[in-house]
Amino acid sequence: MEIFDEIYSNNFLAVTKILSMLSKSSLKGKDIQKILNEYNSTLMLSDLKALKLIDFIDGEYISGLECSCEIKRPFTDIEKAWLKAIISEEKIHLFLNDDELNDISELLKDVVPLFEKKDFRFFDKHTISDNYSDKNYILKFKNLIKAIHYRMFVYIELADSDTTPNSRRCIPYKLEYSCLDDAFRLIAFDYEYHSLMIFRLSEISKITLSSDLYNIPDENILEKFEEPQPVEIEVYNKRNAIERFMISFSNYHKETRFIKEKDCCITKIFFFKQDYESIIDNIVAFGPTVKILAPEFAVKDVVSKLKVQKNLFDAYQ
Amino acid sequence: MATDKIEFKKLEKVRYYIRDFFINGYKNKDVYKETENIGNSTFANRAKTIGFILNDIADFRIGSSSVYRIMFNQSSVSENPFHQVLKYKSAPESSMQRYFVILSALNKNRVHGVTANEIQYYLDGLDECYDEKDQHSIIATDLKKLLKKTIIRKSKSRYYINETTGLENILAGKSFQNMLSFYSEVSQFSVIGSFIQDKLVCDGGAKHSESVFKYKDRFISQTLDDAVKLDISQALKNNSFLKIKDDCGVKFICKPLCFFISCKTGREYVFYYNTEDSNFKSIRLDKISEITKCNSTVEFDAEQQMSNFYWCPPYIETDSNEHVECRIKIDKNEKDAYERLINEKRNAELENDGETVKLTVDTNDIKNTLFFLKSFTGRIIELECSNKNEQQSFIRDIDEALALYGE
Repeated sequence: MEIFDEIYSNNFLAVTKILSMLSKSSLKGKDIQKILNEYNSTLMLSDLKALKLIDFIDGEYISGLECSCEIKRPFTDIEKAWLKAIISEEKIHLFLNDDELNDISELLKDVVPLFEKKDFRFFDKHTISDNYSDKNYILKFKNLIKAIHYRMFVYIELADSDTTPNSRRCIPYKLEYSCLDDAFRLIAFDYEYHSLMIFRLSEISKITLSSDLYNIPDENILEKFEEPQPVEIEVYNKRNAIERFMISFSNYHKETRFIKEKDCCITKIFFFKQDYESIIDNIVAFGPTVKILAPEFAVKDVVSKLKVQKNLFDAYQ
Repeated sequence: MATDKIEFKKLEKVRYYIRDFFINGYKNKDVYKETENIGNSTFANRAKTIGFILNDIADFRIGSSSVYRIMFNQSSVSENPFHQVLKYKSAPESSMQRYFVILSALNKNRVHGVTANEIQYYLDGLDECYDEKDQHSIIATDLKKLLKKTIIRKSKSRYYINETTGLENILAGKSFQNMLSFYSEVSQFSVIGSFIQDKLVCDGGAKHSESVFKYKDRFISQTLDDAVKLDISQALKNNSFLKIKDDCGVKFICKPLCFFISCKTGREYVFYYNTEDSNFKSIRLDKISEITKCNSTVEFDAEQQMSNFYWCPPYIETDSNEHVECRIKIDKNEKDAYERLINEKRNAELENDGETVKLTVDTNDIKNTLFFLKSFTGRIIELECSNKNEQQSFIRDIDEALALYGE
């Protein structure tokens, strides 16, 4: 089984598409080039001509193949094996109902799954993940997918209704999945208060679909997102800190400069407000191999943590 | 063929330099050229490749001091851009030509199939590209490869398309589209989901609509190690041995046992039994440069070793165990800090008295354990390590870090 194989390549996809279209009618050069571009293909029109896959006749291109027809590549062994592994996954009921699951299972009954859960052991994963077999959870999930697709308003009821209004009318924007805590969160726009809200799906008790559709463009919703703020850090080239630091923060938006004279790099990590504490705790863990340069409040927070720690150690010793 | 095309024959080198650029966010040309022993043009080509592949998430700039900078914004993309790396496998021109001749012949003759001789006849029509002498064996090899991939089937001497129409129809449904959209981003070997989506669109299916999903805490560069992971995964399934070559060129024969994956750092390890020194060890997937299958049979009991997860998967440098006890100040109202401790404590034991939490742990990687404890700086009331040097170093680090800020 090969995962790095030319049959999955952009070039093969583009040529498949072109030859299939040519089996129905001739094409102009610019149409073929458009398909090549669409598929990010590195081939050019002249390459296809040189390979005699296409012919140029009377100002248009036709298939160069004797058996010109619509070309469909069947699924490969690896694709079928991957699908078989996926349908055994615990979250699959969020997507497929019993009938759909039975149908695809029947089609893949002779296929051996590509991988098994027992072969993968995850650590640092949060201990409380969402309950994907809960019927109410599945219903909420499916309702939200439908609402996002069809741009429907929804009414959200939260499990903790003591502190929040019972039902909120909002526009569901995206379902955010976190690999760290294995949970879904709803990112929604509160229509009444004109603000963005993020709720863990397990904290929502009920989602009701409204028959009203909204026609607010996504861009207008995105405008409500706060801009991520940068924290600027100097990372020194000692104790392998640069590599360790960069791997630790590889899932964040960052900008990095290498300063040859100081043998260090200066990096900006862009964070959202809710991640600030976690980012600062992680940066402090790097000790004297990093220094926060900005913003001022982050510098103060780090210095304060270090001073408190020094006092605690002094008292202990 | 196009002169400046981006295609890769092999994945090994590509995954290293793409990963380096991505993880670090910069590359110093002089240092890179020296370590890789490459010239200016190779470096420029590699830089250009990165810029091309990561176009959607990277702002690629050439700065002063020969430093290439990349600014990443992966939060704005829902589709993993690294999948593209695996879609630039180069193919010899003649092989591409034969593939399409064979596939079109089989598609055209779905009911009756075709023989190898008939395929040869269709190829003859493309004349001078082929050397008549070798053509027969080349076609036989091509057909064998396609049979192995289960794209085609053989009955007597005829070859047929291995129909998967039922699967194609079912996957076109909305529920399945959402399933593919999600698992193509977060599952193991997620790129395969992307291949399936590409195929469905190429066959005339609807183009991917804007995903309803957004992702957090995912490590998109793991895709670069998927080929290595697949080889190991197959060996796990077949209960077989492998010869692994690491990025320093060291080779060893081993029996892979399972993968360990950190959800916090994205680091992926394979835990294995090394037949040469009869030890259980692990290696990071991004440190593996080459894998080959090998025949070996060694008896050993892995069950107990696999359940012995200390602080991290055991590996060569850190196979001695140390003991750590630490008391951390966490008020009962500070839910977030306590939850983080629970989530990231790994094999440690916790005792909570409402105001402080005592953490006790046996660790096979003292530096890594203390690094984790440092993330609770400002809260640590007591710290006792069996390794006194490391304990002193921890305390010294606080002073040195304060000195950086002039305190």
